[in-house]
Amino acid sequence: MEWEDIYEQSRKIANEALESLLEEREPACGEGAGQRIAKRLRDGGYLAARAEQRKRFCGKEAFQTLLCREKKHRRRRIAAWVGTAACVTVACGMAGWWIQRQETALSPAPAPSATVCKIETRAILIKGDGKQVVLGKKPLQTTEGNATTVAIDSTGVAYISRENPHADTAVTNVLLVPRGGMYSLTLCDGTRVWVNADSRLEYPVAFSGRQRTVRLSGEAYFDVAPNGKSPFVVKTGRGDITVTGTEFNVKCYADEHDIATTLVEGRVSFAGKGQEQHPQPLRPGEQAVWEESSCRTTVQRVNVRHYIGWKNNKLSFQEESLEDIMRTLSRWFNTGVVFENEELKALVFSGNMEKFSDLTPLLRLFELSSDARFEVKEGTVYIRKKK
Amino acid sequence: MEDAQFLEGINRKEPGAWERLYDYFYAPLCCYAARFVRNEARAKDIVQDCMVQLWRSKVEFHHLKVITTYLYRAVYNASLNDLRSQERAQRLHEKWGEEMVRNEEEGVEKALEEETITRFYAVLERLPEQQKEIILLSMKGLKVKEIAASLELSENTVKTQKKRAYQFIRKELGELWGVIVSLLFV
Repeated sequence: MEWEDIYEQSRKIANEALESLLEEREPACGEGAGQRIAKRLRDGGYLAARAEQRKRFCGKEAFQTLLCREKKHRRRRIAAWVGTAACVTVACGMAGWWIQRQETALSPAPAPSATVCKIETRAILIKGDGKQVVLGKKPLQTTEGNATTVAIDSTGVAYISRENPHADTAVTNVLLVPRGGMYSLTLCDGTRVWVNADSRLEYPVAFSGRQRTVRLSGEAYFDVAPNGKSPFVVKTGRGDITVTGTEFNVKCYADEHDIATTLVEGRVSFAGKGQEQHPQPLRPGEQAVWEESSCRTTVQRVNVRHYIGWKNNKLSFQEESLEDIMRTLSRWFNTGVVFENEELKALVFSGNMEKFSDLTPLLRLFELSSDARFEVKEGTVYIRKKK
Repeated sequence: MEDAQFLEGINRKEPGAWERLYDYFYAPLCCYAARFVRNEARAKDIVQDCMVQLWRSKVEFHHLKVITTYLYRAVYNASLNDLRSQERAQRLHEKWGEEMVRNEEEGVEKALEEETITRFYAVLERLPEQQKEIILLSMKGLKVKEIAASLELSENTVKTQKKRAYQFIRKELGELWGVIVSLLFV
């Protein structure tokens, strides 16, 4: 068996494994590697374990990382090429015209649909000069400050600083993600942020100095670009998270009274309001919850996937009260919620669903296992007892 | 997407074609690298580095077979280099003993297995839902009678569906790139 044989042989073996399975006979791939592999594939447990491992690697994400890196690469080269002020002015003028066009085209805000709608990739970007840009799936490129390019495409916003990276530290942008939306962006240092529905992220167009500071209310997942010299700090009204290079999720909605920080990879520390002197370090797989009522931080081990699923468009609830679940769903699907019977708030459910799909099947699932009835009328979910 | 069109896209570094390349190869290659370096984070870096090299190179492919060969081989070499450079090889070797890949032949077999798994799912994914379920249940060792009971079908339906799936698989010839392989249903 040689490397060149992989392409042909893999198809033969896969088909033989499937055919022999359907015919309820032993696979016949001769002796050697082929037969060993065919036998292993017919073992459901083995195959499922391999498939499970594959899920931990996301090709789409990796490809975006490649594009981001290479864009920076190329842009630097182009900047060196062009170089003259005249050319840059023309480019900026063009970009300005583009934005104007986009803004007029998009200015009437999309009408909220009457039924429970699917979640969309949408957000509002407030630029340094106060101008608002509605971000949808249309690609768009603009500049911010003196030396930063803002590239917008269907995957999100990316900030790319040219020339002097410290030129635009004074300019602050705000990304507002409405209820029913979700958005991702790449900051100028390469840090990626996924911002969940009903959330607000404020950040400088370019970072400088000893700290990279952003402000968050709502929920976001951070994949921070490592930089030992300049820690990354997420400030929330209820506490700060300090990071050196890592992946984690922060949830701190105004209508909930706590803040939860879940660490996926690397190291972070969390300091609740009033506890700035005693930051609490977290290890991967741990979650720090700070409660406003007691002003105390508790750390527990959690199933991380459950807390970060939203980033990959998966909703997952594990033994949560119906009140909490409905609050989350109302943010994601931009619906109202009316409990016609208070007792029902305490019901506990678990469930999974794809975020970009309809809400109804999940509600039907809840109905099957309880005496709650859900009715969706004009964008509001009414919850009552079954008669 | 036609093979020729896809290859053209890869050679010209078109994002659409490259996204498909990642969809198809990234996860299997990471699993493959992880079998050598036994660290998933490093496996990701190794695979990404190989992809970046390809992206920046002027190499052109005129057959899918060559891409498959190239990528597995590149990741194999990069993984072994990583092990050597990390100076962890010796320790790992002691720790994992027999399990360590000792020669290139084993490297090829493991690559063959990864690609076979991809193909296996690519075929499954294109079968109608019911036939897919029947196959997944057969893999758990269930017989026709048990499958019929658990899917609430008649035994005859299960047999017919099995036959249809069989015919489909027999006819199946390549055409992989038209499918985005999804492993979510398992």
